[in-house]
Amino acid sequence: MGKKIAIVVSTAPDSGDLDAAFDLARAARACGAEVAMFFMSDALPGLPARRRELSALAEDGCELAVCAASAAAHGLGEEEIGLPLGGQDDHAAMVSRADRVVSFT
Amino acid sequence: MILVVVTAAAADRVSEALRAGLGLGLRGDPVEVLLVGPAAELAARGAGGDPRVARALATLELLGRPARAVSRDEALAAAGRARAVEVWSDPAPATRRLVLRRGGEAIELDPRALDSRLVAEQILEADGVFLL
Repeated sequence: MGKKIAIVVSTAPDSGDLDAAFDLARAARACGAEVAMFFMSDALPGLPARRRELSALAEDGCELAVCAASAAAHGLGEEEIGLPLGGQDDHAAMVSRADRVVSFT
Repeated sequence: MILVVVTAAAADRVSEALRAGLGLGLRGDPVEVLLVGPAAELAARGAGGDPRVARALATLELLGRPARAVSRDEALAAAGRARAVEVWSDPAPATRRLVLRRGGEAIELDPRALDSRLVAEQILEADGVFLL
């Protein structure tokens, strides 16, 4: 089994961090790593426009979770994001299990 | 140890960082929260400052892991010892720096200037990593 990478994104869509995080996730999967991604805070407004990429990452085996409190704060639900909503426990679990954490926060 | 370094100035971002600091402890991992610069100044206002920040700081203290105000150098030194690091800034840095620890040395690179596959390989081969 490959190493586990957790990628956390909390910055606004105009930062370019979401692009970098998706690129890193795809590259890490190509290297045989397990990838988990957690999205919270200001990253949420960028997710509805990236549903297709999120879906492709999930199909490629990435574990994806979204902070429900952040989604609610931005008026977003599961339908808009296309992912089940989770919480800080997902964040803690992903970071706890990971061999490496890359945090775009 | 999981380290949360808060350098943001905006109360929204500081309170979100503190919420992350609280959440990351839910699985029993040791978590340290360090406040740098404007975040430390915001936190020092206590009850007279932002209520979300004050509440989160009080909860961290109640849990026995109070947030500490430190210098940027102290925060960087702590990041070098941590198993995982989240640096909460505001706004996000225009240029990101990926710090890789390998064999007792720290190497910095610009992750956006390199091929993603190469960046992923470097991360996987390093002893530790954090993003500034």
